[in-house]
Amino acid sequence: MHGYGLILEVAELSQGRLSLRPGTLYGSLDRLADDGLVTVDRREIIDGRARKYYRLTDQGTTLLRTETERMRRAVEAATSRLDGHRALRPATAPADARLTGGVA
Amino acid sequence: MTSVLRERYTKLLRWYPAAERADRGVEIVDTYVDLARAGQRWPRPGDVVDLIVGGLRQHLRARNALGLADALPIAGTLALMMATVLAAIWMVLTEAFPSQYASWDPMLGPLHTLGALAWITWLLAPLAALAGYGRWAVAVAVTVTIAVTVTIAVTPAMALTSLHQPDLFVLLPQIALGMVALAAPHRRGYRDTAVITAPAAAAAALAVLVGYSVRSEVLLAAGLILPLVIIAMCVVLTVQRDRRAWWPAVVLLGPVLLLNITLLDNQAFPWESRRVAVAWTMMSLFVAVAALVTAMSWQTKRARRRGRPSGTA
Repeated sequence: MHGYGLILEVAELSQGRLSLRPGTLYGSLDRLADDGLVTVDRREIIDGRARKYYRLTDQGTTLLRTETERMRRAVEAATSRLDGHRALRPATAPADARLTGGVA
Repeated sequence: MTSVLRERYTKLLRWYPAAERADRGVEIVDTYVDLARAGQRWPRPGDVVDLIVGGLRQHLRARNALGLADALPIAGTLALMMATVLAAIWMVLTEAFPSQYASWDPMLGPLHTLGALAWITWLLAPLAALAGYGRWAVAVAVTVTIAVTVTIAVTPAMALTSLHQPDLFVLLPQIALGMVALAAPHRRGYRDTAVITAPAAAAAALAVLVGYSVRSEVLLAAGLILPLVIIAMCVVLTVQRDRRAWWPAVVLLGPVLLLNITLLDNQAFPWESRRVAVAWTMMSLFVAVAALVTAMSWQTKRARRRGRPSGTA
C-alpha cells in the first residue's frame, strides 16, 4: 500500500476520527523501514501521481500479529470485567434516576 | 489553483534534506495536494508544522540521530517534573512563611514576591495536560518566568527593593527546564499526571518541614538529583538497546549545568551576583550546544563507518 492510500484507509477505519498527516506518515514509514518492519515493494505512477508502495516484512508481520493478539486479550479481559460488573448490579435499579424523580 | 498550491507546498520541502527531496519530494507534495480542500490556495497551518517537523526529523535521520527526536518527550517530562518540584519548593519557601517579612513590606496582592506569579503557573502546568493543553500551559509558565526574569534584570535595583524578588540563579534554571519541558506530551491521563505531580507535593511537604532558611541547598540538591536520575534512565535505555540511549542526557545538559551554579559559591565568584548568573548561563548554553553538535557529528561518523548512506532507509 502507498502513503496516500494508508491515510485514506486510516481515516475510513477510524470513521474520520484519525487523520494522518503526510510528513508524519512518511517519517513513520521510514522509521519502520529502518527497523526492518516494512520494506519498499515498488514505485508506480498512478493518475500522474508518484506512489511508493510498502509491504510488511516477515518480521513486521510477526510483530503486528503479536501486538494484535496482546490487544485482543486486553479487550477480552476488559469485556469480561464489564460483564461481571453488570451481572452484580441489581436488576431493579432504574436506568435513569431523572425519569423516576429520584434526584434528591 | 492546484498548481499554485503545489508550488507553495513544494517551497516548504526546503526543510527536507536534498536527498529526501529528490527521492520522495514529488510524492509528499502530491499527497498534500490530494488531501487539500476544494479551492484551497495556501498550505494549512497544521501542514506547515507537519512539513517542518518532518523535514527536521529527516535531517536527524540522515545523521543517524533520530534518537534525539525520540528522547525529547521523555526529557521534556523529566524537565517538567523538576520544574514543578522547584516551583513547589520556591512557592512554599517564599509564601508559606510570612514571618520572614516585615509587616510593612509591600505585597503584590496576596503574594509576597514577584516570583510567585511564575511558580503558580508552573504548578498549574502539569494539570493542564489533563485537558490536552499541556504544551500551552508550559509555554505560559515559561513566558511568565521570562517576564519576571526580564523585569528583575532590566529594572534598576532601587525600583524593586520594596518588593521581594527571586534571584536570577533561581529563575534561569527554571526557564531552561521550561524550554525542554515544551517537548513533554501535550495530553496526559490521571495516572501520569499523578506521577508527575507527586514529587512536587512531596517536595512542598518537605519544604514546609525544613523552613525558609534553605535556598542554595535546594539548587544543590536539584543539581545533584537530576543528573543522577538522568544517568540511571540513560543506562536503562542503553541496556535495552533503545534508540534514545544517552540523548536525554544531551538534551538536559543545559538545565543541569544551570542548576549547578551553586558550585561557584565562593568569594571570588559569588553566585548571587547578576553578572556571574549571566556568565554562567552563557557558559551553560555554550557547553549544551557544543555537546549536542558533538553528539550529532559522532553519530553521523558512526553511521558512515557502518556504511549506511545518509537519508536512505
